[in-house]
Amino acid sequence: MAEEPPIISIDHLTVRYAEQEQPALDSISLTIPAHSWTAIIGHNGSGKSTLIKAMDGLVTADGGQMTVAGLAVTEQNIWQIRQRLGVVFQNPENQFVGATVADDVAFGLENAQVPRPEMLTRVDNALAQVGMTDFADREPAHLSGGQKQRVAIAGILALAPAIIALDEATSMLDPQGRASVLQTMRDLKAKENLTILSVTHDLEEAAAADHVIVIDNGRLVASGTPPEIFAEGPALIDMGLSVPFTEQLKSDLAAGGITGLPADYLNEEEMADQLWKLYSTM
Amino acid sequence: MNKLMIGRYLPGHSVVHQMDPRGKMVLTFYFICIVFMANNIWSYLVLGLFTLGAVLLTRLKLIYFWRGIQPAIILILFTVLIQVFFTRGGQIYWQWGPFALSSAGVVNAWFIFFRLVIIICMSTLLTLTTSPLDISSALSSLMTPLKWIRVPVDIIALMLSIALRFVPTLMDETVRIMNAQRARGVDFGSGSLLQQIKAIVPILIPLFVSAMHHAEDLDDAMTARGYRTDAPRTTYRIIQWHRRDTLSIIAFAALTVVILFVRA
Repeated sequence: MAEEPPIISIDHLTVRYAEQEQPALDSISLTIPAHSWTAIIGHNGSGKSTLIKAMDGLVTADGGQMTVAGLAVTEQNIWQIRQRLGVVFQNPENQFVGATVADDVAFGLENAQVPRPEMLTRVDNALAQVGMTDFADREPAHLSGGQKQRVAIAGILALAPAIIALDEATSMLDPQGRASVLQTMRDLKAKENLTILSVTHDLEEAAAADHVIVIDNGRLVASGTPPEIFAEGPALIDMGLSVPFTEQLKSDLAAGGITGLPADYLNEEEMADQLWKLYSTM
Repeated sequence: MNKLMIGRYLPGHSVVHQMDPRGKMVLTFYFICIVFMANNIWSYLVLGLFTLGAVLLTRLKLIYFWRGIQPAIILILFTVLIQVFFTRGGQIYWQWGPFALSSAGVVNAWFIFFRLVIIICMSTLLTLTTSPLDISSALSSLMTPLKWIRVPVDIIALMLSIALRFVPTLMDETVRIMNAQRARGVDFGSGSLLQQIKAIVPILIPLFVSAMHHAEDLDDAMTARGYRTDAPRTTYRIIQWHRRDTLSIIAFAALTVVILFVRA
Protein backbone atom coordinates (compact mmCIF):
# COMPACT_ATOMS: atom_id res chain seq x y z
CA MET A 1 0.00 0.00 0.00
CA ALA A 2 2.96 2.25 0.68
CA GLU A 3 3.93 2.46 -3.00
CA GLU A 4 0.49 3.61 -4.02
CA PRO A 5 0.24 7.39 -4.46
CA PRO A 6 -2.11 9.15 -2.05
CA ILE A 7 -5.71 9.27 -3.28
CA ILE A 8 -6.17 12.84 -2.15
CA SER A 9 -3.43 15.40 -1.96
CA ILE A 10 -4.02 18.97 -1.00
CA ASP A 11 -1.37 21.62 -1.32
CA HIS A 12 -1.76 25.02 0.36
CA LEU A 13 -5.52 25.14 -0.08
CA THR A 14 -7.12 28.43 0.89
CA VAL A 15 -10.84 29.13 0.83
CA ARG A 16 -12.31 32.48 1.71
CA TYR A 17 -16.04 33.18 1.95
CA ALA A 18 -17.07 36.57 0.62
CA GLU A 19 -18.71 37.79 3.80
CA GLN A 20 -15.91 36.74 6.15
CA GLU A 21 -12.58 38.38 6.83
CA GLN A 22 -10.79 35.29 8.06
CA PRO A 23 -10.35 32.52 5.50
CA ALA A 24 -12.39 29.41 6.17
CA LEU A 25 -9.38 27.32 5.20
CA ASP A 26 -5.92 28.78 5.51
CA SER A 27 -3.16 27.18 3.45
CA ILE A 28 -3.95 23.58 4.25
CA SER A 29 -1.66 20.85 2.96
CA LEU A 30 -2.32 17.19 3.53
CA THR A 31 -2.39 13.81 1.85
CA ILE A 32 -4.74 10.93 2.37
CA PRO A 33 -3.58 7.41 1.53
CA ALA A 34 -5.81 5.18 -0.57
CA HIS A 35 -8.01 2.58 1.16
CA SER A 36 -7.67 4.24 4.55
CA TRP A 37 -10.19 5.60 7.02
CA THR A 38 -9.35 9.18 7.88
CA ALA A 39 -11.18 11.19 10.50
CA ILE A 40 -11.17 14.98 10.33
CA ILE A 41 -11.92 16.60 13.66
CA GLY A 42 -12.21 20.19 14.83
CA HIS A 43 -14.70 22.36 16.66
CA ASN A 44 -17.69 24.01 14.97
CA GLY A 45 -16.72 26.48 12.29
CA SER A 46 -13.16 25.17 12.06
CA GLY A 47 -13.52 24.53 8.33
CA LYS A 48 -13.99 20.76 8.25
CA SER A 49 -17.06 20.81 6.06
CA THR A 50 -15.55 23.46 3.82
CA LEU A 51 -12.64 21.12 3.17
CA ILE A 52 -14.99 18.39 1.94
CA LYS A 53 -16.97 20.85 -0.16
CA ALA A 54 -13.75 22.20 -1.70
CA MET A 55 -12.73 18.68 -2.76
CA ASP A 56 -16.07 18.22 -4.45
CA GLY A 57 -15.96 21.64 -6.08
CA LEU A 58 -18.98 22.90 -4.15
CA VAL A 59 -16.93 25.84 -2.90
CA THR A 60 -14.20 27.34 -5.01
CA ALA A 61 -10.65 27.56 -3.71
CA ASP A 62 -8.90 30.91 -3.61
CA GLY A 63 -5.47 29.36 -3.74
CA GLY A 64 -3.62 26.09 -3.71
CA GLN A 65 -3.95 22.84 -5.61
CA MET A 66 -5.92 19.70 -4.97
CA THR A 67 -5.79 16.30 -6.58
CA VAL A 68 -8.64 13.89 -5.91
CA ALA A 69 -8.48 10.31 -7.20
CA GLY A 70 -5.75 11.22 -9.66
CA LEU A 71 -7.55 14.26 -11.08
CA ALA A 72 -6.74 17.88 -10.39
CA VAL A 73 -9.75 19.73 -9.02
CA THR A 74 -10.55 22.13 -11.85
CA GLU A 75 -13.65 23.35 -13.62
CA GLN A 76 -13.17 20.81 -16.45
CA ASN A 77 -12.58 17.83 -14.20
CA ILE A 78 -15.16 18.52 -11.55
CA TRP A 79 -17.93 16.28 -12.90
CA GLN A 80 -15.51 13.36 -13.22
CA ILE A 81 -14.31 13.97 -9.68
CA ARG A 82 -17.88 13.99 -8.43
CA GLN A 83 -18.26 10.49 -9.89
CA ARG A 84 -15.24 9.28 -7.91
CA LEU A 85 -15.96 11.10 -4.68
CA GLY A 86 -19.31 10.51 -3.00
CA VAL A 87 -20.38 12.79 -0.18
CA VAL A 88 -22.93 11.93 2.50
CA PHE A 89 -24.01 15.16 4.16
CA GLN A 90 -25.10 15.90 7.68
CA ASN A 91 -28.84 16.32 7.53
CA PRO A 92 -30.50 13.23 6.06
CA GLU A 93 -33.72 15.17 5.47
CA ASN A 94 -32.07 17.74 3.20
CA GLN A 95 -30.30 15.37 0.87
CA PHE A 96 -33.25 13.16 0.06
CA VAL A 97 -34.12 14.10 -3.52
CA GLY A 98 -36.33 11.24 -4.65
CA ALA A 99 -39.97 10.73 -3.84
CA THR A 100 -39.30 7.20 -2.60
CA VAL A 101 -36.24 5.33 -1.35
CA ALA A 102 -35.62 3.62 -4.70
CA ASP A 103 -36.05 6.89 -6.61
CA ASP A 104 -33.55 8.59 -4.35
CA VAL A 105 -30.93 5.89 -4.78
CA ALA A 106 -31.46 6.07 -8.55
CA PHE A 107 -31.03 9.85 -8.67
CA GLY A 108 -27.25 9.82 -9.09
CA LEU A 109 -27.49 7.03 -11.65
CA GLU A 110 -30.01 9.02 -13.67
CA ASN A 111 -27.55 11.91 -13.70
CA ALA A 112 -24.77 9.59 -14.84
CA GLN A 113 -27.08 8.43 -17.66
CA VAL A 114 -26.96 4.80 -16.62
CA PRO A 115 -29.45 2.82 -18.74
CA ARG A 116 -32.57 1.72 -16.86
CA PRO A 117 -32.00 -2.09 -16.80
CA GLU A 118 -28.57 -1.59 -15.21
CA MET A 119 -30.03 1.03 -12.88
CA LEU A 120 -32.53 -1.50 -11.51
CA THR A 121 -29.84 -3.97 -10.48
CA ARG A 122 -27.53 -1.29 -9.10
CA VAL A 123 -30.33 0.23 -7.00
CA ASP A 124 -31.26 -3.21 -5.64
CA ASN A 125 -27.64 -4.01 -4.80
CA ALA A 126 -27.03 -0.68 -3.11
CA LEU A 127 -30.17 -1.06 -0.99
CA ALA A 128 -29.19 -4.59 -0.05
CA GLN A 129 -25.73 -3.40 1.03
CA VAL A 130 -27.21 -0.99 3.56
CA GLY A 131 -30.00 -3.37 4.57
CA MET A 132 -32.85 -1.24 3.23
CA THR A 133 -34.28 -3.60 0.59
CA ASP A 134 -37.65 -3.88 2.32
CA PHE A 135 -38.02 -0.11 2.31
CA ALA A 136 -37.55 0.46 -1.44
CA ASP A 137 -41.05 1.84 -2.01
CA ARG A 138 -41.28 3.89 1.18
CA GLU A 139 -41.51 7.65 1.15
CA PRO A 140 -38.97 9.67 3.18
CA ALA A 141 -41.67 10.86 5.59
CA HIS A 142 -42.06 7.29 6.81
CA LEU A 143 -38.38 6.71 7.58
CA SER A 144 -36.33 7.40 10.69
CA GLY A 145 -33.24 9.60 10.58
CA GLY A 146 -30.90 6.61 10.59
CA GLN A 147 -32.83 4.95 7.78
CA LYS A 148 -32.68 8.11 5.68
CA GLN A 149 -28.96 8.29 6.24
CA ARG A 150 -28.66 4.68 5.06
CA VAL A 151 -30.56 5.62 1.93
CA ALA A 152 -28.16 8.53 1.40
CA ILE A 153 -25.26 6.07 1.70
CA ALA A 154 -26.96 3.66 -0.72
CA GLY A 155 -27.38 6.55 -3.19
CA ILE A 156 -23.63 7.11 -3.06
CA LEU A 157 -22.77 3.39 -3.18
CA ALA A 158 -24.86 2.89 -6.32
CA LEU A 159 -22.47 5.28 -8.05
CA ALA A 160 -19.50 3.11 -6.96
CA PRO A 161 -17.14 5.93 -5.97
CA ALA A 162 -13.54 5.32 -4.93
CA ILE A 163 -13.83 7.70 -1.99
CA ILE A 164 -16.75 8.27 0.34
CA ALA A 165 -16.76 11.40 2.46
CA LEU A 166 -19.07 11.40 5.47
CA ASP A 167 -19.65 15.04 6.32
CA GLU A 168 -20.88 14.66 9.90
CA ALA A 169 -23.19 12.03 8.53
CA THR A 170 -23.87 10.53 11.94
CA SER A 171 -24.22 13.72 13.95
CA MET A 172 -28.02 13.83 13.87
CA LEU A 173 -28.55 10.18 14.71
CA ASP A 174 -29.15 8.47 18.03
CA PRO A 175 -26.28 6.36 19.44
CA GLN A 176 -27.78 3.16 18.03
CA GLY A 177 -28.31 4.62 14.56
CA ARG A 178 -24.80 6.05 14.62
CA ALA A 179 -23.22 2.74 15.59
CA SER A 180 -25.09 0.84 12.90
CA VAL A 181 -24.30 3.38 10.14
CA LEU A 182 -20.62 3.29 11.09
CA GLN A 183 -20.61 -0.49 11.17
CA THR A 184 -22.20 -0.51 7.71
CA MET A 185 -19.47 1.81 6.45
CA ARG A 186 -16.73 -0.32 8.03
CA ASP A 187 -18.09 -3.47 6.40
CA LEU A 188 -18.39 -1.72 3.06
CA LYS A 189 -14.88 -0.33 3.28
CA ALA A 190 -13.51 -3.81 3.86
CA LYS A 191 -15.57 -5.28 1.04
CA GLU A 192 -15.25 -2.60 -1.64
CA ASN A 193 -11.77 -1.38 -0.75
CA LEU A 194 -12.97 2.18 -0.36
CA THR A 195 -11.24 5.21 1.01
CA ILE A 196 -13.31 6.84 3.71
CA LEU A 197 -13.05 10.37 4.95
CA SER A 198 -15.19 11.15 7.93
CA VAL A 199 -15.72 14.58 9.34
CA THR A 200 -16.89 14.13 12.88
CA HIS A 201 -17.38 15.45 16.37
CA ASP A 202 -17.58 11.97 17.74
CA LEU A 203 -14.18 11.16 19.16
CA GLU A 204 -14.94 7.50 19.65
CA GLU A 205 -15.52 7.37 15.91
CA ALA A 206 -12.22 9.22 15.31
CA ALA A 207 -10.40 6.86 17.66
CA ALA A 208 -11.38 3.94 15.42
CA ALA A 209 -9.91 5.60 12.29
CA ASP A 210 -6.53 4.89 10.67
CA HIS A 211 -5.58 8.55 10.62
CA VAL A 212 -6.80 11.64 12.37
CA ILE A 213 -6.49 15.18 11.06
CA VAL A 214 -7.17 18.06 13.42
CA ILE A 215 -8.29 21.38 11.99
CA ASP A 216 -8.59 24.50 14.10
CA ASN A 217 -9.72 27.87 12.77
CA GLY A 218 -9.06 26.86 9.18
CA ARG A 219 -5.54 25.62 9.89
CA LEU A 220 -4.21 22.11 10.01
CA VAL A 221 -2.84 21.69 13.51
CA ALA A 222 -2.11 18.01 13.78
CA SER A 223 -2.20 14.85 11.77
CA GLY A 224 -1.33 11.32 12.76
CA THR A 225 -2.65 8.05 14.09
CA PRO A 226 -5.33 8.21 16.81
CA PRO A 227 -2.88 7.28 19.64
CA GLU A 228 -0.50 10.05 18.52
CA ILE A 229 -3.26 12.63 18.38
CA PHE A 230 -5.09 11.68 21.55
CA ALA A 231 -1.88 11.50 23.57
CA GLU A 232 -2.03 15.31 23.41
CA GLY A 233 -5.17 15.27 25.50
CA PRO A 234 -4.90 18.70 27.20
CA ALA A 235 -3.94 20.43 23.92
CA LEU A 236 -7.10 19.07 22.32
CA ILE A 237 -9.21 20.44 25.14
CA ASP A 238 -7.58 23.85 24.60
CA MET A 239 -8.75 23.71 20.97
CA GLY A 240 -12.33 23.31 22.14
CA LEU A 241 -12.40 19.60 21.42
CA SER A 242 -13.20 16.92 23.88
CA VAL A 243 -11.09 13.81 24.36
CA PRO A 244 -12.08 10.15 24.15
CA PHE A 245 -13.51 8.56 27.26
CA THR A 246 -10.23 6.88 28.29
CA GLU A 247 -8.32 10.18 28.13
CA GLN A 248 -11.04 11.82 30.18
CA LEU A 249 -10.79 9.02 32.72
CA LYS A 250 -7.00 9.38 32.85
CA SER A 251 -7.20 13.12 33.55
CA ASP A 252 -9.93 12.60 36.15
CA LEU A 253 -7.78 9.96 37.86
CA ALA A 254 -4.77 12.27 37.76
CA ALA A 255 -6.89 14.96 39.40
CA GLY A 256 -7.75 12.41 42.10
CA GLY A 257 -4.08 11.66 42.71
CA ILE A 258 -3.74 8.44 40.70
CA THR A 259 -0.84 9.16 38.37
CA GLY A 260 0.74 5.83 37.58
CA LEU A 261 -0.83 5.51 34.13
CA PRO A 262 1.29 5.85 30.97
CA ALA A 263 1.05 9.18 29.10
CA ASP A 264 0.31 7.46 25.75
CA TYR A 265 -3.21 7.17 24.39
CA LEU A 266 -4.91 3.98 25.51
CA ASN A 267 -8.03 2.44 24.08
CA GLU A 268 -10.62 0.97 26.43
CA GLU A 269 -9.04 -2.46 26.56
CA GLU A 270 -5.54 -1.12 27.16
CA MET A 271 -6.91 1.19 29.82
CA ALA A 272 -8.54 -1.73 31.62
CA ASP A 273 -5.26 -3.67 31.45
CA GLN A 274 -3.26 -0.75 32.81
CA LEU A 275 -5.71 -0.24 35.64
CA TRP A 276 -5.44 -3.92 36.57
CA LYS A 277 -1.66 -3.66 36.54
CA LEU A 278 -1.71 -0.52 38.64
CA TYR A 279 -4.12 -2.02 41.14
CA SER A 280 -2.28 -5.32 41.60
CA THR A 281 1.09 -3.66 42.21
CA MET A 282 -0.33 -1.34 44.85
CA MET B 1 -57.26 17.90 8.98
CA ASN B 2 -57.68 14.14 9.07
CA LYS B 3 -61.18 14.16 7.71
CA LEU B 4 -60.44 16.29 4.69
CA MET B 5 -60.39 14.04 1.65
CA ILE B 6 -59.27 16.55 -0.97
CA GLY B 7 -56.08 15.27 -2.54
CA ARG B 8 -55.85 12.28 -0.18
CA TYR B 9 -54.52 9.05 -1.56
CA LEU B 10 -55.67 5.68 -0.26
CA PRO B 11 -53.41 2.82 -1.32
CA GLY B 12 -55.12 -0.21 -2.77
CA HIS B 13 -54.81 -2.91 -5.38
CA SER B 14 -57.99 -2.48 -7.39
CA VAL B 15 -58.09 -2.22 -11.18
CA VAL B 16 -58.56 1.52 -10.87
CA HIS B 17 -55.50 1.81 -8.62
CA GLN B 18 -53.36 -0.03 -11.13
CA MET B 19 -54.44 2.02 -14.12
CA ASP B 20 -51.95 4.16 -15.97
CA PRO B 21 -52.04 7.55 -14.20
CA ARG B 22 -51.81 9.39 -17.52
CA GLY B 23 -54.87 7.62 -18.83
CA LYS B 24 -56.69 8.19 -15.57
CA MET B 25 -56.00 11.92 -15.57
CA VAL B 26 -56.93 12.46 -19.19
CA LEU B 27 -60.07 10.35 -18.85
CA THR B 28 -61.16 12.17 -15.69
CA PHE B 29 -60.77 15.48 -17.49
CA TYR B 30 -62.64 14.10 -20.48
CA PHE B 31 -65.42 12.79 -18.23
CA ILE B 32 -65.93 16.23 -16.71
CA CYS B 33 -66.36 17.62 -20.24
CA ILE B 34 -68.90 14.89 -21.08
CA VAL B 35 -70.93 15.69 -17.98
CA PHE B 36 -71.74 19.06 -19.50
CA MET B 37 -73.22 17.37 -22.56
CA ALA B 38 -75.90 15.67 -20.51
CA ASN B 39 -79.22 17.52 -20.65
CA ASN B 40 -82.01 15.12 -19.78
CA ILE B 41 -82.88 12.58 -17.16
CA TRP B 42 -81.68 9.61 -19.23
CA SER B 43 -78.25 11.04 -19.89
CA TYR B 44 -77.84 11.82 -16.20
CA LEU B 45 -78.96 8.33 -15.33
CA VAL B 46 -76.32 6.86 -17.67
CA LEU B 47 -73.60 9.12 -16.21
CA GLY B 48 -74.70 8.33 -12.68
CA LEU B 49 -74.57 4.59 -13.28
CA PHE B 50 -71.18 4.91 -14.96
CA THR B 51 -69.81 6.87 -12.00
CA LEU B 52 -71.27 4.35 -9.56
CA GLY B 53 -69.65 1.54 -11.54
CA ALA B 54 -66.28 3.29 -11.46
CA VAL B 55 -66.60 3.99 -7.73
CA LEU B 56 -67.43 0.33 -7.03
CA LEU B 57 -64.44 -0.74 -9.12
CA THR B 58 -62.09 1.09 -6.72
CA ARG B 59 -63.26 -1.24 -3.90
CA LEU B 60 -62.93 1.68 -1.49
CA LYS B 61 -65.54 2.37 1.18
CA LEU B 62 -68.28 4.71 -0.05
CA ILE B 63 -67.81 6.85 3.05
CA TYR B 64 -64.60 8.27 1.51
CA PHE B 65 -66.55 9.58 -1.48
CA TRP B 66 -69.15 11.08 0.81
CA ARG B 67 -66.34 12.85 2.68
CA GLY B 68 -65.14 14.17 -0.65
CA ILE B 69 -68.54 15.72 -1.28
CA GLN B 70 -68.97 17.02 2.27
CA PRO B 71 -66.77 20.14 2.07
CA ALA B 72 -68.58 21.19 -1.13
CA ILE B 73 -72.06 20.62 0.25
CA ILE B 74 -72.80 24.26 1.05
CA LEU B 75 -71.66 25.29 -2.40
CA ILE B 76 -73.88 22.62 -3.97
CA LEU B 77 -76.93 23.64 -1.93
CA PHE B 78 -76.37 27.32 -2.70
CA THR B 79 -76.15 26.64 -6.44
CA VAL B 80 -79.20 24.40 -6.30
CA LEU B 81 -81.28 27.02 -4.43
CA ILE B 82 -80.31 29.73 -6.90
CA GLN B 83 -81.38 27.45 -9.74
CA VAL B 84 -84.66 26.69 -8.02
CA PHE B 85 -85.66 30.25 -7.33
CA PHE B 86 -84.28 32.15 -10.32
CA THR B 87 -85.14 29.87 -13.22
CA ARG B 88 -88.46 30.61 -14.90
CA GLY B 89 -90.07 28.31 -17.41
CA GLY B 90 -92.74 25.70 -17.68
CA GLN B 91 -95.38 25.73 -15.06
CA ILE B 92 -94.97 28.38 -12.36
CA TYR B 93 -96.12 27.18 -8.95
CA TRP B 94 -95.32 30.19 -6.83
CA GLN B 95 -94.03 33.70 -7.36
CA TRP B 96 -92.86 36.58 -5.15
CA GLY B 97 -90.95 39.52 -6.59
CA PRO B 98 -87.89 38.24 -8.46
CA PHE B 99 -88.26 34.76 -6.92
CA ALA B 100 -90.22 32.06 -8.60
CA LEU B 101 -90.67 28.34 -8.18
CA SER B 102 -91.18 26.76 -11.54
CA SER B 103 -91.11 23.25 -12.94
CA ALA B 104 -88.12 24.13 -15.16
CA GLY B 105 -86.32 25.50 -12.10
CA VAL B 106 -86.83 22.31 -10.14
CA VAL B 107 -85.66 20.16 -13.05
CA ASN B 108 -82.60 22.36 -13.62
CA ALA B 109 -81.74 22.28 -9.95
CA TRP B 110 -81.77 18.49 -9.96
CA PHE B 111 -79.52 18.47 -13.01
CA ILE B 112 -77.02 20.86 -11.41
CA PHE B 113 -77.09 18.78 -8.24
CA PHE B 114 -76.31 15.58 -10.12
CA ARG B 115 -73.68 17.27 -12.24
CA LEU B 116 -71.75 18.56 -9.22
CA VAL B 117 -72.02 15.29 -7.31
CA ILE B 118 -70.84 13.27 -10.32
CA ILE B 119 -67.91 15.60 -11.00
CA ILE B 120 -66.80 15.59 -7.37
CA CYS B 121 -67.09 11.81 -7.16
CA MET B 122 -64.98 11.31 -10.27
CA SER B 123 -62.26 13.75 -9.22
CA THR B 124 -62.19 12.27 -5.71
CA LEU B 125 -61.84 8.89 -7.38
CA LEU B 126 -58.77 10.13 -9.27
CA THR B 127 -57.01 11.48 -6.19
CA LEU B 128 -58.02 8.57 -3.94
CA THR B 129 -56.60 5.96 -6.28
CA THR B 130 -53.52 7.75 -7.67
CA SER B 131 -50.46 8.43 -5.51
CA PRO B 132 -49.06 11.99 -5.72
CA LEU B 133 -45.96 10.40 -7.20
CA ASP B 134 -47.92 8.89 -10.05
CA ILE B 135 -49.69 12.19 -10.59
CA SER B 136 -46.38 14.00 -10.91
CA SER B 137 -44.89 11.43 -13.28
CA ALA B 138 -48.12 11.47 -15.30
CA LEU B 139 -48.03 15.26 -15.51
CA SER B 140 -44.42 15.27 -16.65
CA SER B 141 -45.18 12.61 -19.23
CA LEU B 142 -48.23 14.51 -20.47
CA MET B 143 -46.18 17.71 -20.69
CA THR B 144 -43.59 16.07 -22.96
CA PRO B 145 -45.03 17.63 -26.16
CA LEU B 146 -44.35 21.04 -24.61
CA LYS B 147 -40.63 20.36 -25.13
CA TRP B 148 -41.24 21.40 -28.71
CA ILE B 149 -41.97 24.93 -27.58
CA ARG B 150 -38.91 24.84 -25.29
CA VAL B 151 -40.71 24.39 -22.01
CA PRO B 152 -38.15 22.82 -19.58
CA VAL B 153 -40.38 19.83 -18.89
CA ASP B 154 -37.76 17.73 -17.06
CA ILE B 155 -36.89 20.56 -14.70
CA ILE B 156 -40.56 21.25 -14.00
CA ALA B 157 -41.11 17.55 -13.33
CA LEU B 158 -38.15 17.41 -10.93
CA MET B 159 -39.36 20.55 -9.16
CA LEU B 160 -42.80 19.05 -8.82
CA SER B 161 -41.46 15.81 -7.39
CA ILE B 162 -39.18 17.65 -4.93
CA ALA B 163 -42.07 19.89 -3.90
CA LEU B 164 -44.27 16.85 -3.22
CA ARG B 165 -41.48 15.11 -1.34
CA PHE B 166 -40.98 18.13 0.93
CA VAL B 167 -44.67 18.64 1.78
CA PRO B 168 -44.63 16.30 4.82
CA THR B 169 -41.22 17.63 5.91
CA LEU B 170 -42.43 21.22 5.91
CA MET B 171 -45.73 20.24 7.53
CA ASP B 172 -43.84 18.62 10.41
CA GLU B 173 -41.67 21.66 10.67
CA THR B 174 -44.67 23.98 10.78
CA VAL B 175 -46.14 22.02 13.67
CA ARG B 176 -42.79 22.06 15.46
CA ILE B 177 -42.39 25.82 15.00
CA MET B 178 -45.99 26.43 16.11
CA ASN B 179 -45.45 24.40 19.27
CA ALA B 180 -42.15 26.14 19.95
CA GLN B 181 -43.82 29.53 19.56
CA ARG B 182 -46.76 28.42 21.70
CA ALA B 183 -44.30 27.45 24.41
CA ARG B 184 -43.06 31.03 24.27
CA GLY B 185 -46.54 32.39 24.67
CA VAL B 186 -47.70 33.06 21.10
CA ASP B 187 -51.46 32.56 20.93
CA PHE B 188 -52.75 31.11 17.65
CA GLY B 189 -56.36 31.20 16.52
CA SER B 190 -57.75 33.71 18.97
CA GLY B 191 -58.15 37.47 19.19
CA SER B 192 -59.10 39.88 16.44
CA LEU B 193 -58.36 39.26 12.79
CA LEU B 194 -55.35 41.58 12.94
CA GLN B 195 -53.95 39.80 16.00
CA GLN B 196 -54.39 36.43 14.31
CA ILE B 197 -52.54 37.63 11.23
CA LYS B 198 -49.76 38.97 13.44
CA ALA B 199 -49.49 35.61 15.22
CA ILE B 200 -48.71 33.97 11.88
CA VAL B 201 -45.51 35.98 11.37
CA PRO B 202 -43.50 34.00 13.97
CA ILE B 203 -44.37 30.82 12.05
CA LEU B 204 -43.90 32.14 8.56
CA ILE B 205 -40.46 33.67 8.90
CA PRO B 206 -38.72 30.68 10.56
CA LEU B 207 -40.45 28.40 8.06
CA PHE B 208 -39.23 30.50 5.16
CA VAL B 209 -35.67 30.61 6.50
CA SER B 210 -35.64 26.87 7.07
CA ALA B 211 -36.98 26.26 3.56
CA MET B 212 -33.98 28.25 2.30
CA HIS B 213 -31.65 26.03 4.34
CA HIS B 214 -33.32 22.93 2.94
CA ALA B 215 -32.85 24.30 -0.56
CA GLU B 216 -29.17 25.13 -0.06
CA ASP B 217 -28.35 21.73 1.42
CA LEU B 218 -30.37 19.94 -1.23
CA ASP B 219 -28.55 21.90 -3.92
CA ASP B 220 -25.19 20.75 -2.54
CA ALA B 221 -26.36 17.16 -2.21
CA MET B 222 -27.76 17.14 -5.75
CA THR B 223 -24.64 18.70 -7.27
CA ALA B 224 -22.42 16.28 -5.36
CA ARG B 225 -24.41 13.44 -6.91
CA GLY B 226 -23.81 14.79 -10.37
CA TYR B 227 -27.03 16.64 -11.15
CA ARG B 228 -26.70 19.17 -13.97
CA THR B 229 -29.70 21.07 -15.28
CA ASP B 230 -28.37 21.16 -18.83
CA ALA B 231 -27.26 17.55 -19.12
CA PRO B 232 -29.41 14.69 -20.42
CA ARG B 233 -30.54 12.14 -17.84
CA THR B 234 -32.03 8.67 -17.92
CA THR B 235 -35.13 7.86 -15.88
CA TYR B 236 -35.68 5.23 -13.24
CA ARG B 237 -39.43 5.54 -12.83
CA ILE B 238 -41.51 4.58 -15.83
CA ILE B 239 -45.24 4.28 -16.29
CA GLN B 240 -46.61 1.49 -18.40
CA TRP B 241 -49.71 1.28 -20.52
CA HIS B 242 -51.67 -1.94 -20.00
CA ARG B 243 -54.64 -3.58 -21.63
CA ARG B 244 -56.89 -2.33 -18.81
CA ASP B 245 -56.05 1.22 -19.86
CA THR B 246 -57.07 0.56 -23.44
CA LEU B 247 -60.26 -1.05 -22.13
CA SER B 248 -61.03 2.01 -20.04
CA ILE B 249 -60.69 4.21 -23.11
CA ILE B 250 -63.13 1.93 -24.94
CA ALA B 251 -65.53 2.21 -21.99
CA PHE B 252 -65.37 6.00 -22.13
CA ALA B 253 -65.87 5.98 -25.90
CA ALA B 254 -68.94 3.78 -25.45
CA LEU B 255 -70.21 6.14 -22.77
CA THR B 256 -69.81 9.08 -25.15
CA VAL B 257 -71.81 7.30 -27.86
CA VAL B 258 -74.59 6.42 -25.41
CA ILE B 259 -74.75 9.99 -24.11
CA LEU B 260 -74.92 11.42 -27.62
CA PHE B 261 -77.72 8.96 -28.35
CA VAL B 262 -79.88 9.63 -25.30
CA ARG B 263 -79.39 13.37 -24.85
CA ALA B 264 -82.26 15.52 -25.99
